[in-house]
Amino acid sequence: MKTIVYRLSIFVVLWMASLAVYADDVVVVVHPSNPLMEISIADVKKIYLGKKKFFPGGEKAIPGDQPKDTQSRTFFYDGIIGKSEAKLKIYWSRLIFTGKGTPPRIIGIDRVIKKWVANQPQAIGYIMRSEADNTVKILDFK
Amino acid sequence: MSKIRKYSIGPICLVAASMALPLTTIAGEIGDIQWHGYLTSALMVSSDGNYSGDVSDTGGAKDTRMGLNISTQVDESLNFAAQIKGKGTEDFIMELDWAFASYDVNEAMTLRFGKIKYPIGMYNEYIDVGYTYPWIRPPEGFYNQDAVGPNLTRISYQGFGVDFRTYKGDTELGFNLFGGVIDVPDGHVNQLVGIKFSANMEDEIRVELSANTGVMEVDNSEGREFMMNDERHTTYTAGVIVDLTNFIFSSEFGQASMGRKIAGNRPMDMTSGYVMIGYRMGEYMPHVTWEQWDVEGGWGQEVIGVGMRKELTTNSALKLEVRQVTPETTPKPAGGLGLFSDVPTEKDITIVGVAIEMVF
Repeated sequence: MKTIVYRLSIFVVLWMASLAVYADDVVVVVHPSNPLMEISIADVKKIYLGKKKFFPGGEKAIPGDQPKDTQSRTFFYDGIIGKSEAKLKIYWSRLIFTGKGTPPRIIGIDRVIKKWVANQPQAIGYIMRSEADNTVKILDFK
Repeated sequence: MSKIRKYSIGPICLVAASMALPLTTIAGEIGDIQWHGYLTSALMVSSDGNYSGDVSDTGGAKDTRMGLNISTQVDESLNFAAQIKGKGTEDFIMELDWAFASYDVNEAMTLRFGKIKYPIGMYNEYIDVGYTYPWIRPPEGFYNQDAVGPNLTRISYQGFGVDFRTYKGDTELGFNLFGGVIDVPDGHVNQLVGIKFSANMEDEIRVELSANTGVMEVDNSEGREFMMNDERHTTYTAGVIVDLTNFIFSSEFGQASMGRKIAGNRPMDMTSGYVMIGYRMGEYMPHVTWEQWDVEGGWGQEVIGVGMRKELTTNSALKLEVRQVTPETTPKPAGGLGLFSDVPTEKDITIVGVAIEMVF
């Protein structure tokens, strides 16, 4: 009986932990001095796909990316940009090998992106909401 | 002249890029330098030894190729990019593919100067980067540059390009004006002027319409090629790519014409078109292509092809392809042999290919 209760409690803990992970979401962050409070998903797409080099307010935008297989990157590209890794690679290859654009540089995982955005007034990044703090500003989606 | 550039500019670019590599900084900042490359390893075998000169009946790796690309942001608005490549068809000699400076006047307008990839044909600008499309060779009636006579596409041109773009809702509208000179075997296309209109709906539906014209200058003073000297060369193309989650459809149609009537008073005009349908099933994408190519005063051909593209990783793919080429039955050698170096020995020619493509 003890074994069953023990296994059941382990299962419940793991289930709740998984719920906590999926309850988190990815947020777009900028430097606290950036005057923007919100941004449209269309503008985020354009900035991350190299079609727009400036924030809606006219300031230069430098997007920072995360390595493949991070949870933030998967959520960001699947949920916001709307491209799988394979389609993304083809998209950027078409631009790179015609000299028309290069992808955002991979800065690092959430913690590194947050630190980079906090020190770069022109930066825009994405991290899990649970990682955000007052060193960066979360932009709401319009 | 072009041989000199092959041996000098390519290695210089490579050395310059190698020296610049350690200077890499944060993306988007001035001075940022990015390196990329592509590689195709291919083997194709034809049942007829005269097809296209690049595919023999004993097999060949002429489609094997690689390229290295470097780009850097010089200042807020000025960018520079260059690419060198080596191909099996050219004994793997590394040559400059293109190199140009681009200046962003604003978010809606970009100017380019230098040696620029020829912008006609929806796949032409990245035709050496096989990873980006389904086939081992894109439809040859539309994309070949081997046949003597009018061609729809070229490798690159030297001159200028002006890109305008705007958005209407989620649709990106583009307008490209370009001009300059094209180097072709044994000559040039001078006074090149072209326009291209494009519409891109979230990368799911892309449409392009183009028109361009130039005047042929043939260095070779003998033979059929010389009959094209001083002739105006004009092309029109239209294309659409639909790329949804699983379904992919691609079709292009083009017409090229040469001013003078040659080959027994027949105009040296050509039309070419194709339709490709594919369906992604996880890592696999089977596809089928039908292609028709007609050359007035020469030979044409019909091609049916089936292929399979399999994603190996997020930057590499394996491709298998079988095509049946049926040349026109009435030979008109005075107007050219199309994609054949000599009269074909079979009614239907079968071509089988396998390739591994990657980008890095």
